[in-house]
Amino acid sequence: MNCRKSLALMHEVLNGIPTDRGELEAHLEECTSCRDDFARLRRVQDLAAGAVSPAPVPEALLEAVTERVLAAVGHEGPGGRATWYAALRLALSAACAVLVFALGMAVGRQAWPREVTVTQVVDRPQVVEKRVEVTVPVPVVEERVVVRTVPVVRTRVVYRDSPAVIAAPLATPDVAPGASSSILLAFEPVVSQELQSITDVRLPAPRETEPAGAPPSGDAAAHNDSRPEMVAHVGAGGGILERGT
Amino acid sequence: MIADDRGLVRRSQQGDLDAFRELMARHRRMVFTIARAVVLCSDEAEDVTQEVFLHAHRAIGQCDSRRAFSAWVRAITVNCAVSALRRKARRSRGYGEFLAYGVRAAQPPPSRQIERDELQVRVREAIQALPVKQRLAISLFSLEGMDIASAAAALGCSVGTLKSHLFRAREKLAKTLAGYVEEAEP
Repeated sequence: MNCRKSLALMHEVLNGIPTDRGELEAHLEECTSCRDDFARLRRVQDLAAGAVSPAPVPEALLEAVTERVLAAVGHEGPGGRATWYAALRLALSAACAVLVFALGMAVGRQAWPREVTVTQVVDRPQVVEKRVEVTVPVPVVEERVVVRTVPVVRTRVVYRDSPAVIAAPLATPDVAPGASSSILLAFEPVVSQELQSITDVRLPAPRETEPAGAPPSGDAAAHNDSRPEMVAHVGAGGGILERGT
Repeated sequence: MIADDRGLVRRSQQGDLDAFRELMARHRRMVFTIARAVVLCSDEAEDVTQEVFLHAHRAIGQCDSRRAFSAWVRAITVNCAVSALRRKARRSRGYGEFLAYGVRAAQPPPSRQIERDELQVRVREAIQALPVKQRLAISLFSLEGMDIASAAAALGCSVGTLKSHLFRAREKLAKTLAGYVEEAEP
């Protein structure tokens, strides 16, 4: 055994680790330097133990500490200060969340397009969704849906003559071409905003011919000779659905 | 019937002060002993002990009753004691360096007539001059009944790391206290 390994074993012995001390003792027998080192380290360990535990702990002192703690926590109640700390932390977290959400909305409103125009050509009256592939055997009409304001972006193409679109008109529009009126209609399949106020129903001059076989139906069928331009204003929480040709 | 710590913790979590008093009675000596080993001062150890149990009561809801309360409160003790050390160091910044220098260079020559109390003062000064981790390692390990695994758990480090700190701490103390160590040898 060399002196370096001997030093490591000395510390293992001082650490209370079970060690084969025979080899160490054999080295210490013949190495004076290591023997002195071991004696010094043991002495250091003893001195440290004496310094950190100089005297027994008086029971009266511990009892006094206990009473002081109990008096203090008795005023705080169960959980102590942690209760209102937790409430404060929860309130701060909620405030931060609201702030982040508000900032996100502000940034999002800037980034979100205020107006989206979708142009699709449909073959027959129907309600279609954006990006729906539509086969166009006979183009009948070009619809444009303008969606304004977030968060709901409606990109449906609505055909004016379809009863499936204007499902339940609550009031029949009685407007002359070029005039404006207001009508309350129900769109389907709108879920949360079924009732929408349709305003500015303008009836411009016809632009193209209605294809043969197109099913005239519903109240709007009364205006088949014209291309209505409808502007639908959705209530709070929704977008403004504007439709026109 | 004597309740175990787990039951006392559960009752304390429900606001039972008698249960918390019993927990304190069982563990306050251990807390005080560890605190004194770290701060090396009985008055400060008393303050730390009070702080430990105040903190423990406030955080008792976070104590997992399936685990040992003693290990939980021991970790709090080490944290509070180290915080007390740091507060003290901030208060007496500059003095510590002077003290450390004094231990290293301005030591009086050893004498066979040095009183035991004075020797303890010198040893404490030498321990206080150690880096914090070495100081904690040698202090906790030197406590009666604290084996190396318990000391490592209290410090939140591995046994290997603790051994390394102990090694360096002993070597430094052996040099710092060379006069006293050699003095005591036959």
